[in-house]
Amino acid sequence: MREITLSKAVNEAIAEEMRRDPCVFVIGEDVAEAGTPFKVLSGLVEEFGTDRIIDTPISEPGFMGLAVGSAMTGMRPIVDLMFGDFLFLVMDQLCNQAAKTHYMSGGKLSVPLVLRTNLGATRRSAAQHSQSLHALVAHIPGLKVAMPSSAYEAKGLMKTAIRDNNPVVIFEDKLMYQDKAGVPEEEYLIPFGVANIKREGTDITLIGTSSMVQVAEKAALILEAEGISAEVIDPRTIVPLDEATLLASVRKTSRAIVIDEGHQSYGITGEIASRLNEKAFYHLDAPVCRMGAMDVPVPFSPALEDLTVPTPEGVATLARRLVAGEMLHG
Amino acid sequence: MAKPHEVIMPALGMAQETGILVRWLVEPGAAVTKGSPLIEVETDKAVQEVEAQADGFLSDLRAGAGDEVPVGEVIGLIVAAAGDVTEGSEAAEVEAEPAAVTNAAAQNTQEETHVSAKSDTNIKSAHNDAIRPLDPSGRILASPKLRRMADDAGLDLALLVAHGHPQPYHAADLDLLRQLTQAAAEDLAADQAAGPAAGPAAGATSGPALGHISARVPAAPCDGFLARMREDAGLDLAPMALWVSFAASALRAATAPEGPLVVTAAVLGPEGFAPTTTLSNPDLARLSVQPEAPEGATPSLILRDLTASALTGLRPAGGLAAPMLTLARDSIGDRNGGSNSDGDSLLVALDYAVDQLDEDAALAVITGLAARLADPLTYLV
Repeated sequence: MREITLSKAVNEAIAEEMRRDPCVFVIGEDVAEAGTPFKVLSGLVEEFGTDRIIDTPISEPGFMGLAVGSAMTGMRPIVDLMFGDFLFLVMDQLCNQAAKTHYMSGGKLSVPLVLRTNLGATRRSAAQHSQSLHALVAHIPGLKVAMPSSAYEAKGLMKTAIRDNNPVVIFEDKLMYQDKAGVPEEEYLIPFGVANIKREGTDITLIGTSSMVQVAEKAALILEAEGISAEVIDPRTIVPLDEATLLASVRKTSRAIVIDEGHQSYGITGEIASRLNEKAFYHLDAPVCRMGAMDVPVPFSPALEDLTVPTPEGVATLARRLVAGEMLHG
Repeated sequence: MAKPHEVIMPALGMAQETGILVRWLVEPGAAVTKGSPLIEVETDKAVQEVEAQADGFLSDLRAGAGDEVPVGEVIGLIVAAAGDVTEGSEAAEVEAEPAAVTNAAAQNTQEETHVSAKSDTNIKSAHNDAIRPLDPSGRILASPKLRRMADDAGLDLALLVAHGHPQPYHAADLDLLRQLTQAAAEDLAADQAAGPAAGPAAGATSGPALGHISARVPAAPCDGFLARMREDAGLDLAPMALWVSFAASALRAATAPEGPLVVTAAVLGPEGFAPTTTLSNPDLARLSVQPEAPEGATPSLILRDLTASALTGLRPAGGLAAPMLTLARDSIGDRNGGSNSDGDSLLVALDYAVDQLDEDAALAVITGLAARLADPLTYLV
């Protein structure tokens, strides 16, 4: 199978869907001439023109509202939000309007909108351009949230998102745009709510989202060398969440660590850990543990920034202690 | 003078009317401290230690070792000063008449108890400082998974505490808990067998506890050995000849019996078990010879060969006259519909009563047999 970058995979997904459906268009800052700061959309404006690849002023609430309106009236907008940190600017349009319109119109209106944005620290972009804010939107009923962990997932999930008749927020890790993975030439879609067991194991389940899947896989390799068999699972979408696959795994291994790059407090890790505690309690041989980003603004200092996110070594250390039956907290 | 604290026979079970005072753990007149073990009491469930509920000096013993005492009965006093100690109707070591007065109203007591297995070593370890509960409330710290598994198996996590096994407990501790439970049952069985005065303990368990150990070894070494004997030496041995010899030799190595080692062996075929043969010291004879035992010899081992059948195991329903070994074949070729038998295994299992073999010996038998089956030539030369 050919290997392409995550950036190219997203580009292909959008181009294919735009060719298939004339209602699909892209709107955002620097999407046309610049092809986004990460060059993800390069080439699209040449093929589809400025009517369907629309550059906007720096006006996130404005173009987000415009997209919600166009979606209600029959278009299928892909909103490009340059940094996930700018979610705070579009919260009303996204959470009060897009997420609730279908419900509040009694099903008369729907909002087939994709908000594509990013997450991820360690790019030396400082506290306002390094956050992983998916927990904010996963909290809101009416929004679906996809978190691709490689080029393969990025393409398959993006195509599913574009065809979904409800608002979907898709978070790409900005550190992964140049990472390559096998992506088939032929068309495929990845359904929402279906987790991917990346690696089977028997001693502990490592549940990772987005780039934390790679962190979990590297931790599993470290642990394997020590005779600890770790299962790695990528939920792929956190809303909807494939609870059944996670529960089956934890019932098998009796232990789990949930790894996510959002801040640990009140985040995705706590939500997933709580569901496992509730529904697999009598199968647990150790507390289900969370590993999120430190509860601090992401530091600009590279040395400090690297300390704030989960690492393979950190995951392996915690896994080792859980498997050994250590008491983590008195 | 402060009022002496009364030591009473505690109610350790819901429907218990009397308890047997197994022994005093403190000499009369000696100092006792609140919370330290004072007496050992046997009920129809277990032997338990009961702790002192007051500081002071043990005085006025009114019941002695072996006495069956109604629940609530005062069996001694704890007095505040050494000078207040009086000699009771009982000396601690002396067997005596049961105490006369019954206090039927006192069904519940304040005496705190905790279970320990019935042997001296357990009692000592139960009061080692290092094993006090981690949780101040006394709750045992164990994972939900282990609690569920222990519940399902009817096992009591308190046994792990009593043996000083460090908390918290996890699923991996279940094996140890099983062993401790079995050891406790064996102690109980041994005591029942030893003393007809066991009283209420009778009927708590029926017969000695049964043990079960199993192993899986590759079939290829034995298959190959038998094939070579047939092709190279022209000796067509029944597999049973090999099994019975190895089984007897493993048992001999594990238990070093004084008399002859008698094995009764039978092969399960399509029509049921073939007639049983009873052999004497088969491991000391040549493989081609089957040394028959004299009529009426008591078997040391029962061997059942299931390798010619589809059975993979057979556990006796009732009691066992002797430890029973079963040998079965787990055929991968059959399972997959092919004929390749490279991956076949022999499943070896030993069922035994704890009064026939102790656990160490049983383990030695099964590991010894597995070693012989895995490498027949080494053990036959």
